[in-house]
Order: sequence, then C-alpha cells, then structure tokens
Amino acid sequence: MLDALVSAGGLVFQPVVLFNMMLALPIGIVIGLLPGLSGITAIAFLIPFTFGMEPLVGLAFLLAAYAAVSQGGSITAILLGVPGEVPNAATVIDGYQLAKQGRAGYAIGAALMASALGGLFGCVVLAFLLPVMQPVILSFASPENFFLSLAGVAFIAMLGAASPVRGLIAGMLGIFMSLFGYDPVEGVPRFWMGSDYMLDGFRLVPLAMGMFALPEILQLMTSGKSIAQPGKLEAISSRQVVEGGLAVFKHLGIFFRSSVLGTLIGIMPGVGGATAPFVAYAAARQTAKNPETFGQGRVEGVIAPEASSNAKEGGALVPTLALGIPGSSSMALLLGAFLIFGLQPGPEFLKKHMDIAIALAWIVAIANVASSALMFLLARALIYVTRVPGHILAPILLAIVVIGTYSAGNSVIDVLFVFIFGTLGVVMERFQYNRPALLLGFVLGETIERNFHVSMAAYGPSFVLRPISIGIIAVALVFLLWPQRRRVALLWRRA
Amino acid sequence: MNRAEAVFPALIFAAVAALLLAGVFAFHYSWTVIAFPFVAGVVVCLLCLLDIFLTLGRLGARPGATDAAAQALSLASLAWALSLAPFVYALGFVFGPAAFLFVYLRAHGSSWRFSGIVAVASVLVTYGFFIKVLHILLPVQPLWLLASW
Repeated sequence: MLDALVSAGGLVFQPVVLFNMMLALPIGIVIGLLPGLSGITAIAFLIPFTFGMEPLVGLAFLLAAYAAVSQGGSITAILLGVPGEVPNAATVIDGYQLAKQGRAGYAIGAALMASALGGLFGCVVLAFLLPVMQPVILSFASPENFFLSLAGVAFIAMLGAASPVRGLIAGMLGIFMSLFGYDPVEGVPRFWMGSDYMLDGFRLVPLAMGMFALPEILQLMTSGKSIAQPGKLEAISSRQVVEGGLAVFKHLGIFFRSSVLGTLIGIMPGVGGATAPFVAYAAARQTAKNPETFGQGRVEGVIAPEASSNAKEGGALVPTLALGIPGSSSMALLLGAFLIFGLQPGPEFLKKHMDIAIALAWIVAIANVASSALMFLLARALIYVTRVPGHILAPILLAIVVIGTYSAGNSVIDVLFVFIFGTLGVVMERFQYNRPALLLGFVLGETIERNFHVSMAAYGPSFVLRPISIGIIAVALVFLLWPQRRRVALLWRRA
Repeated sequence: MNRAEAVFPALIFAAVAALLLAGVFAFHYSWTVIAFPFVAGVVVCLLCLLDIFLTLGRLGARPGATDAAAQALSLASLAWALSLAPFVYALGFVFGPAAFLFVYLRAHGSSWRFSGIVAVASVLVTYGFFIKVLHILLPVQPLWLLASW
C-alpha cells in the first residue's frame, strides 16, 4: 500500500502532469460559472483535447477540470442564487441568503474551504478503500439502491421544508415528472402527448435552471436592486473570506458527517451524485439546535452540501476504478475516457495499475485544493457581482441561462421549458413548496423505478426483507422521526 | 393563509389525476408500464388532498415569516423576461441575446455606451467562447431560417 502511495506520488508530481492540471483548472472554473454546464459537460468538451496525451496526463487534465467545475458552480449558487450545476442547488438555500445579507465573502470562504477539505477527505478514503472495497460495493444490489434513493428524497422532503406535507408533494411530484418518456421495462413512451421531444421525458437542465434561476432573475427584474441590499453591505475584504474558511473548523462535526455521507453516497453505484449535497444539508439541518433558522442564512447550510459534494467525487471513483461500474453519470463518461486511453477499469485494473488508481486520487485531491485556492484569490473580485444593480444583472443572467440551457441539450424546446418550470418555481417559492425536493425526486425518479423493477424481477416482493434493506429503512425512519421523538414517545406510552 | 393556497395543490391534483386517467383509459398502457407512475401519482394526489384539507383548516391563521418575505413579481418583469424569446427567434442565439440586452438596458436607464458595450461583450462571449472555444453548436442564424429546432 505504502509503495503504491509513493509510486503514485512520483507519477503525479511530474511537471507535464502538473502543467496539464493547472491548464485544466481555469477551464473547469469557467464552465462551472456558466449555469447549465456541468462536470459531465466539462469532461465531454475536454476529451477531444486529450487525444494523443499519455493516459495519466489526459486523465489528470480531465479530472482537474471536473473537480474545478463544482467550485465555480458553488460561487454562482451563493452570489446569484443560480446553481452552476444540479448538486449546487443545495448550496443556494443558505448561501444565497447569506449573499443577500451582504455576507457573500463569508459564505464563499466557507464553501471553498469545505469543498477543498471535503475533496481531500474523499480522496484519502478513496486511496485507502480501493484495495478492500469490492465486497462491500457488491453487497449493495438494486433493492438497497431503491431504498437508499427513496430515503434520500424523503429526507429532503421532510426535513428541508416548513411543511412536511408540501415537501413530500414536491418530492413525489419530482419522481412523477421523471417518469415521462420511455418506460425502462417495455420501452413504451409514457405521457408523451405526440411530441417527439417528450419521448425522452422532461430534461434536467431546464428543470434546474427554471426552478432555481428564473425566480431569482424575475425578482431582480422586479426590484431592480442589487442582490446584496445596500443597508446590509459589509466591506468586501479578504478577511471576510478567511473568516468563512475558518467557520468550517468551528463546525467540524457537520463537516466530517457531511464528508462521510458524501463519500458513502458517491460509492453507491447508480444512486447519483446529486443526492449527496441534499442529504448532507438535511442531516445538518436535522441535527442543528435551531433547525428552523436553516434557509435564512446559516453557514452550516453551506458547509454541509459543499463538503459532501466534493467528498462524493472521491467516493464515485471507487466503484468506477474497482468494479468498472460508474458511480455517477460523469464517471460513466470518465469510464469512456479510460477506454479511449486503452485502460479497462475493474478488479484487473487495480491488480495491474494500482499506482495509476492511487495517482488519480492524488490528482483529484490536488485539483480540489488548487481550484479552491484559485477561487479564494478570485472571490474578492467576484463578490462585486452581488452589488451590480438588478436591472443590469438580471437580463445578463437571463441571457446566460438561456444560452447555457440551449448549449446543454442543443434544443430550443429546452429553453421554452426553462420558462415553464420557472413559472412552477415561482409558485412553489411563493407557497413554500420544497423546490430542492422536487429536483432531487426528478433526478432519482428513474433510478428508483429501475431499481424497483430489477428488485421485483430478481427477488419478488420479499426484496424489502433483505438485511441491508431493512437496515436502510430503519436508519431512515430513525432520522425522519428524530425531530418528532417526543410526540412519538408520547403516542407509544399511550398505546 | 388564504383560499388561494389551496388552488396550487388542487391544480397539481387535477393535472396528475388527468394524466393517470388518460394513461389508463385513453392511452391503454399495460400495467407494467403504468404501475410505477400510477403509484407515484396516487401518492401525489393523496398528499395534495391532505394539503388542501390542512390549508382550509388553517384559514384565518397568521401568515408565516416567509409569506411576508415573498414579494410579488411584476407583470412587466415577466413580460421583459419572455421578450427574450422573440429576440432569439428573430436574430438567433448570438445576436438575439445581444439585441435583447441592448434594448433592456436602454429601456431601464443605462447609457447608450454602456448598453452597447454589454451587447458587444455578449456577442464576444457567445460567439467567441461558446462557439469557437467550446465548439457548442449555437445557431448563429435566426431560428425562423432553420429547417428544424
């Protein structure tokens, strides 16, 4: 193990590898700053540039850009309320509130520090788990993934909203909306209304942009004021950013819990990386002393999703490298890049190329820290965005959202759906329905249905009785009922 | 709380119920195809009924903190946001947003020079970065000239 670590270090610290990583970081950050373009987009765009590179150099280039995308996305989530990519939507909830209070620097500092350390945490776990993780990963079959995904939606729905019923409506509506288009068993298109576009169902990017970006843009257009209200502005200083970074060390419990959650969720093949930040946010809210203040600008609400979001990347690499099973859609594309370089991830890959596998963990770790450092340097300048008057910022954001949405799918109808989902987002915000729950339900809906069908076909209805499934249900119930423990205890005594 | 709050879950209920009924009686989906959406849809409908019941039961209660925080959006801002669509349709994804930005900024009191700079920057970003650097197939020509979207 130690030999592999040292050998991997030697591979990573070659000048050509480091140079390509440094080249990829600003590209990743810029892609992250553009709403609609995500980590998977970054890998897709950059794969053609890696043709002819050595495998490790090319993979370092891709992974560094991929790691940096998340940092850029969290900055737009905090400053503008516009998630750079779907997982950043969880950061919007409290990060944007902090920006409105004139504490954008504080929020950015916390986000960057949590991202960097969370990424490091995930990579350390990755390096140590790679040799031993195979049996554990293989013990999670479709029933466990079904319950895990369902529990993820329930957590967000119940814990992230003022009203649990409205949270559940949002989560279930998200699942229902994800079921439009081709059915996974018979291939019959559902509810497609005769439109070719709807054969593949609703798309994720227009939904995320419409639900989160458009309400904020309309608010800015209506008020014409800057995001940070003039009366609440603090002097922009590096000190503010550093204080935010130090806030992570004041909330170490939340940081570690979120990083562990992120890594574990990243490891589960097929659960989806977007789950981790939402689950970590819900867990942070649930264990806080004053959970009702979440959503009004709590720094823990920034630390939890950011730490878990970056920790999950290390976790997602575990099944990708150890089993050849991608832990997320981005990892699926990365798997394609491995094949282009003539490498076949899986148990054999670990036997032959353990040094490359651990070198990739090094690369993700270094990229996380380096992109955070780069963003620390840029943060002070970027904060000025929150002081641009709304009547100038709003149309620019709208144009970026429209162009970014079109770029993600090359479809004008996607742009139309941004406005439709935007209307839904405005109404949901108005009546306090949980928008992140709807988004997560939508992201996981297809996974939930697929795992349900596979579980029924493989195990029949008794799939709910598998030991790990029962364990997940029990843990989920404990977490969900914990805030109501006194009421539950009272009912128990009466019974 | 007011009765208007019950309208939104009622609309969700109506839309989901209509889709499920259409799936069963109009599209004649097999049970395998409709089963999962049916279960999810029924749960949504039941939750909506519960929400309507709870909302009507709370009529007259004081609004929550976030109710007060939620500000009304003006129809003018909505109209301005939607006006980006005809610009893109008429001028494409490179010049459409630039023209929209120019008109919007001028209409909201920005100077000719500032509006022009923003519009030119928009063209540089969309054409230079999205099309040339990222190789994204953004239609430069007006959408009405394209054979299909």
